[in-house]
Amino acid sequence: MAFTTMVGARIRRREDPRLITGRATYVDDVKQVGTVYAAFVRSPYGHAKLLKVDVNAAKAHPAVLAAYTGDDLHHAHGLKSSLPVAHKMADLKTPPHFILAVDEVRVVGEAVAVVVADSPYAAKDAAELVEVEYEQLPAVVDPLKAMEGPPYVHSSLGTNVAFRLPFAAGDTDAAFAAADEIIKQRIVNQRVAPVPIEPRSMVANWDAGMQQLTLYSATQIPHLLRTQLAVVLGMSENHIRTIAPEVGGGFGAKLNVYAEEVVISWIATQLERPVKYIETRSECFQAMIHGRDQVDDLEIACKRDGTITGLKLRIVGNLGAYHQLLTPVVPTLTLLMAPGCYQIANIQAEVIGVFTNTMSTDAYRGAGRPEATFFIERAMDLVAQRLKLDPVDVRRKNFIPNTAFPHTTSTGLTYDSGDYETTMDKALKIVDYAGLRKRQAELRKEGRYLGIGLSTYVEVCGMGPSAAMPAAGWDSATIRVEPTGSITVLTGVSPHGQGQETTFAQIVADELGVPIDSINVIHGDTDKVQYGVGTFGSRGTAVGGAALKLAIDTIQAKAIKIAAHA
Amino acid sequence: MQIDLTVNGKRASLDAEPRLLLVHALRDVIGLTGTHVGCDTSSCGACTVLLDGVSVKSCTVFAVQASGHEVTTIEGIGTADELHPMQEAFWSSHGLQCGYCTTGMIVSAVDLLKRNPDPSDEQIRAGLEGNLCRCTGYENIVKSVRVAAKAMREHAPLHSVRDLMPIHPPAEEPPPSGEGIIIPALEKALT
Repeated sequence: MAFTTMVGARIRRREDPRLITGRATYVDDVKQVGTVYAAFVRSPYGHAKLLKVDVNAAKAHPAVLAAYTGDDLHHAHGLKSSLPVAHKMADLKTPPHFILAVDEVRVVGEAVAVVVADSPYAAKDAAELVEVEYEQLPAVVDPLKAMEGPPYVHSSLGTNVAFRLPFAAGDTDAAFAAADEIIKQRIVNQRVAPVPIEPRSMVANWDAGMQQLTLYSATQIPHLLRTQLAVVLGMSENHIRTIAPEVGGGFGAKLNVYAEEVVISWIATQLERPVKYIETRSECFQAMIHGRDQVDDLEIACKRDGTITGLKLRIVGNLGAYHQLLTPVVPTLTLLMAPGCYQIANIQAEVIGVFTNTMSTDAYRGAGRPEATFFIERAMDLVAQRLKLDPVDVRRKNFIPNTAFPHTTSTGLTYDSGDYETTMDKALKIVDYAGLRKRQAELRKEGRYLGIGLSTYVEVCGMGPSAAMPAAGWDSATIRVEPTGSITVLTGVSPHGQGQETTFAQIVADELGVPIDSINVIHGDTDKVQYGVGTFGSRGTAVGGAALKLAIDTIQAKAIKIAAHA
Repeated sequence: MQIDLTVNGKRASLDAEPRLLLVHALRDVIGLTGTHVGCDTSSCGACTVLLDGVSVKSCTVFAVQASGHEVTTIEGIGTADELHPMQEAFWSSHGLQCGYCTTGMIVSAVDLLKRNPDPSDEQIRAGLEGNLCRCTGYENIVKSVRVAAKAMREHAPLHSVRDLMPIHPPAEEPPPSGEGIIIPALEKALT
């Protein structure tokens, strides 16, 4: 009988010794001889015409090596490409998103110039010498106002609506016509800032001899970043190396390709010096992607017993001023998860993505799916309130029964398994739900209010090849048995706190029957590791671990063959 | 201007602008990068160091203010050869994930235990309110400080990283299933 000794064991994390002793290397800890420092000049206005951006005074500062405006980059140096957006919508409006603003700024914090100096303090001093003249334009920040008409964020589009995605399943009109009750509610998911404790950090270096660009960046996706850098800079991808060293948290906000990463990479090629940029926390609040910001209008058709028979939904996503990597995708994921744990056959919906003069929203902790949970769980409570039913009973009534798995939801996802009622009953037992309700009633008599909140939750996670991930759902792993018998694991995922240096070593130790100390897990360097997709959406072990298992199977088969001939 | 200070027991001299922040002196001049910058505004505590034994946020102290004084950074709290009980406790209690806030968190917690060797959970939370962590949700940080406080009160022996490696399951915490978990596929193949 075979036992595992490592998987499931409570072992100490292998990455921790360097982290607890201050010996880890985050991007700002990367020291390279001759490093120069970039500082960005950012718009204080949400919408303005750029009348003048003059970097001459900054260039005259004795510590300054170079200063560039958007015009310099896009006209004088011919950097024409726009920052990338990954999407599959045929009619998505994709206005240009320059790496430094040209002619107009559309969001507070948009960079209009960059100054490079031989110390970070001097770079900040010199950035203050850049003269910018703005002519303020009307700005719009409310997506509901923005979708109705001017002012337009991108005047050339003649609209602020980036896309409309209609959706219908079943016969929602018939469900509403036959409903005992119809409930309408607006649900607002406020905007949030992701705020990893390590802000965006990057240092680029150009090796003129090897014609190689190396970018260290606090990123969740070193390989995807390399690909996009190649596209935007017009460079050959095999001459770019991206490295995510120790990364201080991401939360989705480092699952992106930022203008600053492109700008400092390009400057490194011009100056042939390492160029470092570490943003301040204020810049992080302004220019790192934001999350959520949806206004969802909900209409619920239900029967008197609490059964929900139909949903009408309008999901308005505030995209911000520009698309970042996954901006338009996020509100569509909300629609995908709209039914939650429930069997709702009839859904009529429209997802509307709207530009406003705000920072781009993008993938942040759940990226669109928690927004769906919020409104569907509110829907359960609203039905309970209206019909004077226990919210537990309304959920029970609408759950996908455990006999119905695998279950394909009306929005097209297949749930392979589940037993929601048993899970909920266990939770109710743990908190003594009946006792809480009794206590609530007693306190109410004394004029005191005890609130009892209830929520269930299911989410499309892992982001393997699936309906939620039409491209890039895979990941990669390589296992090398070195001549001395030590094992090197190269993983395409890019952990930044998730601990795969430990979990992957646990898996390999058990599967190959080797001591865990003989295993070294390497990640986050495109010159060391084969192409991988990265770490986001709870996919590190789910997808990267599955790739690892395939590599283990391959090397085991090879080892057995060799042993048989030995 | 000339700045002379003692960092982790060693003398350090530098000639720097009066506006140079202590955190930048430590990181960029002296080369001790275990102290991190998270907010530049003394909000997050990632840059916490001890100044004459008292915790300060080094992003809002000028290097010149530390001249003539003693600074202890995470590198001086403990080393791989001799971990501070607080470092060991963060490791064993899973008090960290990405690690960026951890060094400042450990320094603050060391200062807290100097003032209060046996804090309650509430006192630990209040004592660390100036240090922000985005990954853990704080539960295991509080646990780490509790575990370290106990070890320090009981004068438990110090360990090196090597003592605690290989990182087999700690003896006091066996895997929940006792005998390990059977791999169904392998079991099937072997029966």
